[in-house]
Amino acid sequence: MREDKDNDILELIAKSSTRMQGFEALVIRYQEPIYWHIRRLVVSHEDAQDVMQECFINIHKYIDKFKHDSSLKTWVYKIATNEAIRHFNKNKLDLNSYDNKTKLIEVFEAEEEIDFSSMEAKLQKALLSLPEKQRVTFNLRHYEQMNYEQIAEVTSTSVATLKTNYHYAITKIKDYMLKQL
Amino acid sequence: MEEFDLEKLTTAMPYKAPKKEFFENFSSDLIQKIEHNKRKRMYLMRSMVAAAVVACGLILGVNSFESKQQNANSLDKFLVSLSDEDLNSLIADCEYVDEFYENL
Repeated sequence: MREDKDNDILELIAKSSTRMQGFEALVIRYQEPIYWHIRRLVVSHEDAQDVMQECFINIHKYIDKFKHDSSLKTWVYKIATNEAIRHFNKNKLDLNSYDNKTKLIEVFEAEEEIDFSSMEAKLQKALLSLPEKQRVTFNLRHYEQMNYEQIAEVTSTSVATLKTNYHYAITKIKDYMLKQL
Repeated sequence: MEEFDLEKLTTAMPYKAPKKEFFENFSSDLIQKIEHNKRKRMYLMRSMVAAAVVACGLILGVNSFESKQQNANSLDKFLVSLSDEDLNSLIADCEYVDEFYENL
């Protein structure tokens, strides 16, 4: 994503006369990638829709707190990730527990029009069996093409910890996938 | 044996995508909701001013002690109706939100 486009959006938001216009541009620019980021975390479309709405309402509410010491993209992803985690907390889903990871896999298996024999579906199941931090790290790195520094901004975690999380995630995914083959 | 390549596998998603209209309507629906919430907040503020006036009345003994008691009772009833677990989860969610957005 081009950063100068983000700067144009922030300039519009900074002026009270064009604030809503700028916010709408921000929503249109980020709604689709943010939807998929959240959907991969919460699995069902209905939950993704609720979490995404809450995410953009909070972006609108707190946009003045954006300090330009990170990119707008990582700031938006930070709020989206937080709202997804808050969704799990509110529903008492501790994703580091085995039972709750199984619940998410059940939600995934109830999804319509998925070819469960496909490798993509098997990968999703492997991802859903990971602890929360490893899953977020893997998703941001692979699906959002973020580097470790950007993921560190999103997750407020050190690059060293992220590398460890990523290493564990890859090892577990490979083990899981090999068992499925 | 089928091989797997993570780079290739993460370019596609197995999920069914939402309808095109979902993204077409999302921003306008959201802005409508934000505007609606703004109006609700303004209404709430006016109501709070009105409530403050009533409270002054209560302090001055203009209104009855019973109505003040009734309001306190409804809040009490709501809080009592929550299980310890729900109450703790409500408090934990409020604290989590406060902490995250304060440090954003």
